[in-house]
Amino acid sequence: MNSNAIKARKKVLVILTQSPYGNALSREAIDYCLAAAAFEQDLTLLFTGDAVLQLINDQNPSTINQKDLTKTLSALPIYGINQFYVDSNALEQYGIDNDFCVPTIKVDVKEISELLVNADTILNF
Amino acid sequence: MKTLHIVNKSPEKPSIMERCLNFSSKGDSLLLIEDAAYFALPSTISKITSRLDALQIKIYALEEDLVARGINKKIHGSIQIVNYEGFVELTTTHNKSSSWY
Amino acid sequence: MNMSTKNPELNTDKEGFLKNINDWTPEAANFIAESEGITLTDEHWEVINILRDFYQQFEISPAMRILVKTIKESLGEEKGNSIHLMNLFPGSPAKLASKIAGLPKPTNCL
Repeated sequence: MNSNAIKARKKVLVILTQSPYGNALSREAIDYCLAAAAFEQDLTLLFTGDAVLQLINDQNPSTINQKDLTKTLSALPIYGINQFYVDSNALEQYGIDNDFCVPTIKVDVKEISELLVNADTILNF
Repeated sequence: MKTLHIVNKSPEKPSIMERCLNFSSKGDSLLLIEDAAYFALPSTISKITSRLDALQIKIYALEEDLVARGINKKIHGSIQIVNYEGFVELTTTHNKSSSWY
Repeated sequence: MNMSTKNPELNTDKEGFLKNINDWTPEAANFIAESEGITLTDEHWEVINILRDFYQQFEISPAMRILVKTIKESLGEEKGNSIHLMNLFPGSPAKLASKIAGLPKPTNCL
C-alpha cells in the first residue's frame, strides 16, 4: 500500500457502551464493523461500561431467541479487525477479567482518552 | 484534535457524564442536549464544574431543549446557549464528535 | 429466477432466501439451485458445506472477500479464488451460494 492510500484510510474508533442483549445497538455495531471492514477502513474497537459484558464466553442467547453476539464478534479478526481495547475499570466493576471471545488489550482512563484523541472519527454504539 | 462531546441523558444517570468526563481531553467541548439539558441547572452543574474547569472544557446547552423544559432562564452563567444552527456549527469547528448515551 | 419451479413448501423471502435456516435440507438446496438455473455438482457442495460450517461458527454469512479467503484455507489456491466461485455461482457468488446453503443474505451485501 502506498502512502497516499494509507492517508485515505480513516482511523475509526468504535466505542461500545451497551450490554449485549438489552437493545439492538451492540448488534448494529457489529453490522457496521463488517460493512466498514469490506471498505478496508482502519477500525479500532473500545469496550467500556456495560459493553464489556459482550465479551463473556459461553453465552447462549437462544433461550431468549437471539443470535449469539460472541460468535459474530469472533469473526471480526477474519475481517481484518484486530484492535480490541477494553476498559479495565469496567472489568473491575463487574469482576470479570479473562475468558473473552476475542483477544483484548486492557486500557485505563488515560489510555482511553488517547484513543479518542488519535481517532479521525468516533462512532458510539 | 478537539472533540465535541454530546450528552443526552439526565443527571439521574451519572455514569454517562462520568464516562464522558473521564475520556475527555484538555480543550474539548461539552454539549448538553435532550434530558442532559438539566445538567445546566446551577445545582447539578456545580457537582462537575471543578472537573470541567480542570480540563478547560467549554459547556454548551441546546436552546430548544432548555426552552422545552422551562429551564432556559434558570441555567448556570458559565453555560453558553446554542440553537440547532449553533449545534451544527460546533460539529464543524471540532475535529470529531462523540455521543455518550 | 424461474418462477415456474418455485416450491410452495419452501418459505422464502422475496429474494428467495429461506426465512428459517432450519428449513434447509440437501433437497431444498437442489431445489433452490435449480430455480437459479444451477445443477449442483460435488464442487458446488464443497462450497456449500464450507459456508454452512462458517455460519455454524460465526452466525453470519461471509462477504465475497471472506468467502474466497475461507475456501482458499480449506481447499487451496486452485478453488479459493473468485473465478472458480463465479463459475460455480454466477453473478454474485457470496449471495447466491448463501441462498442455496439456506443461510441469510451476507450482512455487508450493500
